[in-house]
Amino acid sequence: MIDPNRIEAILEKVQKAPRYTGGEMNTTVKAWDSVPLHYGFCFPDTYEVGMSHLGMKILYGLVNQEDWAVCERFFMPWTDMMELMRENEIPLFSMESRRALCEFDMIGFTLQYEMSYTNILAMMDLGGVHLMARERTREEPIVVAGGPCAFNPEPLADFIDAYMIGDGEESTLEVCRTILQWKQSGADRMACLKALAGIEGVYVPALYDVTYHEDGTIASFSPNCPEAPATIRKRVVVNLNDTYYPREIPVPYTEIVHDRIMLEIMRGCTRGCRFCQAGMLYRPIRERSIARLLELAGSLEKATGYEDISLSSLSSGDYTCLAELIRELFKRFKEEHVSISLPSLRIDSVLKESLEETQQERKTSLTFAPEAGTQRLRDVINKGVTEEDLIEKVTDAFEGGWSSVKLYFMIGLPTETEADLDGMVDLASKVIRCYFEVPRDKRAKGLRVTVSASSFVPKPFTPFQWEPQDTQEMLREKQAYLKERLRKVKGVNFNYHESGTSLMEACFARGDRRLGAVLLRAYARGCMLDGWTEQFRFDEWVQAFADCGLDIGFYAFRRRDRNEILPWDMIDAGVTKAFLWREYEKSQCAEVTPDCRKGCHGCGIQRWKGVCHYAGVGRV
Amino acid sequence: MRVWAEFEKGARLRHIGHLDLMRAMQRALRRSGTPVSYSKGYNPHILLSFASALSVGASGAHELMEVELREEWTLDQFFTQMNAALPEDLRILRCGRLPDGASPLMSRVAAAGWRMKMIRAEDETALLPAVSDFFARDIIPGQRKTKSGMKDVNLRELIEKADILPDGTIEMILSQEEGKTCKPSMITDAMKEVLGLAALPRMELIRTHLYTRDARGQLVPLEETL
Ligand code: SF4
Repeated sequence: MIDPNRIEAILEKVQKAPRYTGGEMNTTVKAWDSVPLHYGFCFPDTYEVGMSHLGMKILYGLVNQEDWAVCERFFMPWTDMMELMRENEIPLFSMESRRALCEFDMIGFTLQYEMSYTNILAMMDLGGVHLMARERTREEPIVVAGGPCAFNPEPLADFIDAYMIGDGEESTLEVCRTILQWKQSGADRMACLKALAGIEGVYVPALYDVTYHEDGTIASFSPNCPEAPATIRKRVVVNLNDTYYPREIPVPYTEIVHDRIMLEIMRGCTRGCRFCQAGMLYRPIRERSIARLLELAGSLEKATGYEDISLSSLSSGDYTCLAELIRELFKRFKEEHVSISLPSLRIDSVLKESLEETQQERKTSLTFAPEAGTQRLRDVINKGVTEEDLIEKVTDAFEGGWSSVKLYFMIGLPTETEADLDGMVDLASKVIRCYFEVPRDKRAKGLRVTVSASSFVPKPFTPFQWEPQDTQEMLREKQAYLKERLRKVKGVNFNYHESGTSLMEACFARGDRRLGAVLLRAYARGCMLDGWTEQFRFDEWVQAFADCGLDIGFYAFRRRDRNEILPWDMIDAGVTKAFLWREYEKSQCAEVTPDCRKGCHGCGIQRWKGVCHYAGVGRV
Repeated sequence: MRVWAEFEKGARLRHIGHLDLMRAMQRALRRSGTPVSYSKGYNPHILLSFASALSVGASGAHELMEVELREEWTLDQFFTQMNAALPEDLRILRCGRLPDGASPLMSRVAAAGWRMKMIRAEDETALLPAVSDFFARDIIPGQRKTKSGMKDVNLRELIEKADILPDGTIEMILSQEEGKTCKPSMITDAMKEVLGLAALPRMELIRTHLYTRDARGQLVPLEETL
């Protein structure tokens, strides 16, 4: 254990010390020697971000339920803390027992976005764990990783011992048990890796070899031992009602990003937006029952004292009995002053009724995501939303007393032209007109329309996985064009992001194993906390690529051939390559694919027996 | 029904600020099932107030709060259910009923007791003589933040009492009276200045009591008058 006095001494000097002090309500502290397996759960971003993440709370509770294991939390320290820790030779320590990362038997990183990859290196480095998996000794932790970015595990292949692909509730305890058995067995590290490879959904990069063509594309990818399966099937929770969900979650002292109860009402999405990786990865759609949700909400409210519940899913409006669920929640919590918020409303599924019910509480700004400016481009990306939908919902919102609306768009989508950019401006103007059409005495004051344009990043396991990303020049030109045109629309606020981050995101989203060297190099050059605009150092990243002799354009701006071996081909994410290609071809002629609850498109997840209720429905 | 409660803010929480502590207490009240009253209006909040805000960096041995309940409730229930709902670093020590017309606790606070102790023995040996001299001065030049900026003050007038115990602990009672409020940081800043140090050694800081004035104008611990 680290001398508490040394930790206290630096805590007095850092900003936001409560990020590091722990002791929150509903956290679990077990006597270290009372359990044989110690799991360090690492969120590779700050406390405020990590503590807002639902997946972490689920897995934290899941492991701590077991009497043979303890799970403690680690977060990425901010730069001031990191400097002080280095200066004072204090290793990265857990929030609960304040033990060093390297003292744990296993550590797990959740990969939520590519720009957190250098944080993983920084955390291991600070925690006394060898960065390179092959250099780790038997005493060091087994390093595992999961989460959406694990579906292309290759850029981190040098650093991670084993990946858990798919729903973490399914594989986590199996992985923990296997590591515990190995720990007690005395066998070497390789024995552990091979045992892990035997678990469904686990990918162990060291057990596979890759060769490359001269042009840099992959020539071959294959297992190098009999224990490693040729493809790794993602794990899928069949029934959300039966799977573990925490009844108490840690309640931070300090304010975090999402400081509330998050009630996951369903997982998966049937819309099939072609740019959306989550929509493809989390298939099929699975709902929690109203009865189960009410019961969970009740326990969570009692255990936390939170005054806010948010319904969480990719597309809450698609929940079969949303209106009933909201009514029941309101009824249940009427006395307790709990407010219910619906975070990711889709514009074609907001029920007027639920709008009216949520408005009893605070009126925040409403968010709509048409994603593209014209119907043609919305058809290309299969965003099944029409202008009429948007106008109708926006009018409802303005009549309902909202005056602040956010419109989310993407630029750089495949096939985009100037007409599509003009379409965004047009849509924004129409929204403003809607507001002024509501009689003055009926609408709330202070119209605010925010147009936010993010840059499109092609992601693995989407129909656009073969597509090039727009170059920085193209994106900048489009941003400048929009800025100029939107400047003339009164009442509109225009937001966009620097393109450097999206470019790096694009490289790592579809990168291969060779990018491990770039990560190491970038980290050595001081890159860290890259998801934070003020910390992101684009020039250093460019230099890191150059130092490693790798070409950014190869990863970001290149159109992949249909027959190319993609770095993530060994992962079976449910959706098949054939389905994705079909979707890609349809996108090229702006042909839509309707919601698959109305008719199954045979995406591939039907191969998992009994998980998709709609599989085969309405097929001709 | 109005309830007062005396509570402890443990050392682990000393980096938690006043607003965060308020929120933690409100959530604990909700978890405990205490029938609290809410304010009216758009953003209803629990009718809870602390007798005095405790700043970041300090723990509190005998802090005080009052809360309004919407129905009759036994003090036993309040005490047990709150302690069950609080994290281990926050403890309710005692509680009681506040008569309906009684003045708010906040308005009764006249001073606060503070205990400072240097963490390392060698710092203490080196500095204590100078610290004794510091408190013995007739004029202790310090600064107070006012609406119109920093103002020079003689801290002596804001220090009700200051002792150095045989074990090296510094005990002070600092005024909290309107226009005369003195925070421990004002004392340590002045100490740095007078002793000519770039930084003071690490010290543990505890607010020991809140004081009120009794009928004779004497300072007495507020919780003892409840
Ligand atoms: S199997 Fe059919 S219904 Fe199920 S998610 Fe895939 S396309 Fe949709």
